Amino acid sequence: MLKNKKFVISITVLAAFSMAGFFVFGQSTENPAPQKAAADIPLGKYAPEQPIPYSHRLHAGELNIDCKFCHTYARRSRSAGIPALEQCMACHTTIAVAKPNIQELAKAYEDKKPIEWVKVHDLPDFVFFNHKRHVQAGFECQECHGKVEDMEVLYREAPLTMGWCVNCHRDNLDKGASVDCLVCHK
Amino acid sequence: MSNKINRRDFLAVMGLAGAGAATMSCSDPKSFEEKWHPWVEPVNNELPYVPRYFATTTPESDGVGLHVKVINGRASKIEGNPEHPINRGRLTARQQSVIQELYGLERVRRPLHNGKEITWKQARELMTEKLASTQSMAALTGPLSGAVHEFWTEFVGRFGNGTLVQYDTFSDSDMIAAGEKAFGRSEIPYFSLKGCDTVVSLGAQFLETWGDVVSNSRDYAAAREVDHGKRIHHYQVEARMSGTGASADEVLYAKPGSETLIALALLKEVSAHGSKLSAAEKGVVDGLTGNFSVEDAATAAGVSAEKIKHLAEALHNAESALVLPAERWVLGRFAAQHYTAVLLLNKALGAIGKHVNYSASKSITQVPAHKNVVDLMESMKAGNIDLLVVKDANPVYSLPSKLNAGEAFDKAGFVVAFADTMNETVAKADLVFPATHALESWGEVHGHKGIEMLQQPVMRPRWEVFQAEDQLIGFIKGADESAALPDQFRDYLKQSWTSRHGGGDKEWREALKLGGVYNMAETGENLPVSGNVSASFFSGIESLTVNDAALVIVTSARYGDGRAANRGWMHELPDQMTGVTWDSWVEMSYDYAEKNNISYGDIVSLQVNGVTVEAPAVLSETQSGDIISVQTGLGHTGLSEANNRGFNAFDLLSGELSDAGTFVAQPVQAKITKAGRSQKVATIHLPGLGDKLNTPQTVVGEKRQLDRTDPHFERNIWQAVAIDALVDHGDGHGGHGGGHHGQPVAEGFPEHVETDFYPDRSKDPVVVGRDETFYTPYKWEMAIDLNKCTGCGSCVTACYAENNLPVVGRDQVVKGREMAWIRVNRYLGYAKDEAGKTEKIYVAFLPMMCQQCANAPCESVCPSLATYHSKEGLNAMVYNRCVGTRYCANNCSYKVRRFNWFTWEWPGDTNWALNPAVSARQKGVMEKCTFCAQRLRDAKDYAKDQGRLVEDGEAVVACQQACPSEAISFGNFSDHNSKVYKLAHDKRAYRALDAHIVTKPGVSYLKRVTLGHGHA
Repeated sequence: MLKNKKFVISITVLAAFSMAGFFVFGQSTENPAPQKAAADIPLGKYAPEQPIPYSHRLHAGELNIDCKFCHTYARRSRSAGIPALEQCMACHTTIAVAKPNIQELAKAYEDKKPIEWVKVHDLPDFVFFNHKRHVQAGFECQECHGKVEDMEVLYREAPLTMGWCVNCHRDNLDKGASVDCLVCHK
Repeated sequence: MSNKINRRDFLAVMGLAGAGAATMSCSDPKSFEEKWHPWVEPVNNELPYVPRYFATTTPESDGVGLHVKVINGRASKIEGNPEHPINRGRLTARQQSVIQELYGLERVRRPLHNGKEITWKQARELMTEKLASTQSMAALTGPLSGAVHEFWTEFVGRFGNGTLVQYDTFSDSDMIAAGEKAFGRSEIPYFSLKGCDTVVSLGAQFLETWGDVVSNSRDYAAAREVDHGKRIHHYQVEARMSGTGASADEVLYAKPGSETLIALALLKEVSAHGSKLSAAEKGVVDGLTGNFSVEDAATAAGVSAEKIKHLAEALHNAESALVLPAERWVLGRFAAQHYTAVLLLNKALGAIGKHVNYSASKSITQVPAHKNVVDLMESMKAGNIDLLVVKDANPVYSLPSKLNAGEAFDKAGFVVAFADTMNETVAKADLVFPATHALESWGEVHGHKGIEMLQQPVMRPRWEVFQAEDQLIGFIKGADESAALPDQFRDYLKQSWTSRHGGGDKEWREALKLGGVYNMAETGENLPVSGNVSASFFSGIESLTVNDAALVIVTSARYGDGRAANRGWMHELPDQMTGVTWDSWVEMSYDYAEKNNISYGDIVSLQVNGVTVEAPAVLSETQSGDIISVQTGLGHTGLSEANNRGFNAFDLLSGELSDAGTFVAQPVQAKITKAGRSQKVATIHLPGLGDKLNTPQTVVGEKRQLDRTDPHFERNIWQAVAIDALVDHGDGHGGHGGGHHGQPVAEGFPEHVETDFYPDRSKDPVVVGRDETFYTPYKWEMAIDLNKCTGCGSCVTACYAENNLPVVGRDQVVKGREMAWIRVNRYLGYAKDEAGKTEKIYVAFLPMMCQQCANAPCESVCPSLATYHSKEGLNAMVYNRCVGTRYCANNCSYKVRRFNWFTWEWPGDTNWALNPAVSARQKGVMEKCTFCAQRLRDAKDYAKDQGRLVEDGEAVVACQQACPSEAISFGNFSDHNSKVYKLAHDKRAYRALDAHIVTKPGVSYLKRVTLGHGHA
């Protein structure tokens, strides 16, 4: 009796989860991200869908805008930050104003509603990475973020795992990098 | 056969389910997406994650200046304003806790009509209607200054013969009356301990609640520094040893109620034996004190006349003495007389001008009399007020229950409250307008003469609420379109400020940046005794002592007048003398308890003035048999559930007013009965000691000789040294130090061979890579001067604020699960006479936090290397690496590691105050002090930007930053010019338990300096 009951419960729970899993997996394979350059994203790289498709290839690549022109906090703060909407509108009040995506941007600006960008390079909350230190030490953005200027859809190039961080720190001990835990964990 | 699933099966099934859930959640990328919300328009000078500091203040901050740290647009921590002459960057625990109210559960977010939410429009219409029809309006506010006072005066002037009543629970008009009598100045002087060599407090708890606590603590600590073999001598007259009395060199246990007689006796003695009074003044004083004598005072106080004469002699011999009055809770109807006697005594000692400064006084307009609010309640009860506007005052809670303020509010025509947080008075209001918190508002607060502080919003309002004054401007303009008022109170304030202080925009911005103007006079003039006082003023003074045990109210340093009862930090900060958290209690001596068969934690009921309250009994070694004490601030009914606790000590007042218009309180005979139940009291003292809170550590015997080389003594955690032993006699050993200098000598440690198990690590290479060794260029160390520490607990709250420490709640504190990284250990020492009877109790405080041992017992037992010794001398703790074995805590010699038994919650919006530079720890993780690793990181970052090393004094840890007595120093031990290096090599320096277990702590304590027979 007892054995039967256990069996029944196990099967039910398992079945429930496999169905749920199938549902989720099924959905994600059947409906790939609608961004047109999905093919450019190397297999397995994290490239979340953004509320407005923004092309780094266009801005940083073709137009050759410096990273720190928009990500202006990178050399002064722990966080590189995403530019304020105002900064987008500085150009887009005159450039490409007819495009629907830009109109969406303009509407958000008018409504004073920030656009909810999805973080691509997101670290766990117990890691305290400091952009300022790395920029000031002379590292190029691309060393961690990959060739952003070639990315139509931004994806996470580096694994951003602890091993990856520590390897680089170990390689740069002569430049003053530290492998002390408290450097990143507090 | 049982049909139930047994535990094992359940776990197996649920384990599977858990795995399934984990798989499922990982497969959905949306579930771990994190969003950015960038600015629409960037804010000037604001960088993400880079803190900005705003100078401001709040009306409840006791006239000190604040620097509020704002990160990502959220106020996150309060520090003191270093420019402010009173607090110079330091704060008490309560002053730091305001931020918890800002994000508290009690914030009012929507307009309320009879307790029901209504729209802003409806609320405004209702208010407009009431204002239009009012015939007799009154406004009840907290104490107002400057432009805010001007504005409210204008507001009430515009509607129905309005009157403006200000109410401050702790204002003391008797001190004003006394100033008028003694010197013809209706002001409260600034009492300063600066340069004092003798201070006699007749009961004033000047290191906890009385006067300007932060400047008192600072000046007192500075005066305790040994200079040419001398330091301040502190006498305290009281029956319940207060936190202030614990720091005193001599405590005179006088019965409560005898203080006025003692003051007059001292005045008579000092005047008789040659004082600094002129002949004419001496004549006046002698005429006043003729009827009083030392003997009468001694009889009333229950002490020998010699002891009072000894006090008088000490004052007489002092070069620069100051006498502080008693707390007004024991003065009864003689408060004005007592204060006058104390002022005259200070005059006789030459302290007027030097320590009692009338050039930096508080004027009568800053000290609203209680009489006004009592009159208002009476006219409300009589139905003479048809509209009452309330802001920042809580009379329903803090007026004595005899006055029945609740009834008055019921009978008032219509009550409108502008409230940031809910409380008893707001709950009584018919209409409630949500208002911005003090940290979100504009305003002005005046302190001592010359100090005018500006209050500016440090962040945008958390909710869609508006400043009360802005809303009132709307109503004024609605009623009178031609009203010459700016649309916003900010502009009103600016106009008023610039018209008084001159200057334009630039000066205004400068003032905002500085937090106001500070032109306080350091010293005042030596005022002559006025002819206002006649002998009849002192006639009729009698002892207010009662037989048996007297009940005395004590101002709570944590809750103050009850405003701070809505803050978890204050609940969880242990009371200085009893270690009680969270609840009210009735404090009594062991003698009294034994006589009445009461044990620790028994619920007792207390009947006073027709009011009965119940609370657990807390037995205290530091309380004499003559007194039962209770503290103010708890007993709310209008806060959120977790904060409505204990009983309200204000209910016990009789409601009687003194001539000057202040509530009278005096010792009363307490009727105590046991309720027959008992309760576990949530105390936070060292676990394992049971309900007897004392941690008996030292036995002081007159018979024992002091020997500084006694190894037993050297092994005590808390140590003291007699002042004579510090004087170098050229033999390299300090003074003789022997004889009667009651040096605490421990018993019980076994003989121990002091071998260093661990080799010196400072020459070791650091594990990997490059050519570097431990402790270069930094070894962070701390030095704590026990001679300065008063045990106030400000450091504890600062640590809570800086390091995201959770408030765990009463039930968890009972289980010993509080999370404070720094605690203030209280040690009791007993002096016993020949018969072994306790003659004296000494109290010692020692802030204890992680000692960052160089030979740390915790490090070697961690199986996951989550705690290790960093190159900079920190005993680092990596939270994400911790697996929660708790081996480290078990092996810690100082019991400073805290384990997260749960993932603690930050209720409401309190998580907004979290410091984004520190992780919030989760269940199963061990945590502890890391010398504010994030602050060290910031200091190093700052130095690195400039291409140099961190300079001495640049790295400041949170507890050090807050300490009002500046007892904590911090810095780089590897820099031999640093302050901490010098202090660590001071004659008085020792490291806790180092001589015993060789842990090589990174914290040096400097021994407390004792005087003569006295204790530390």
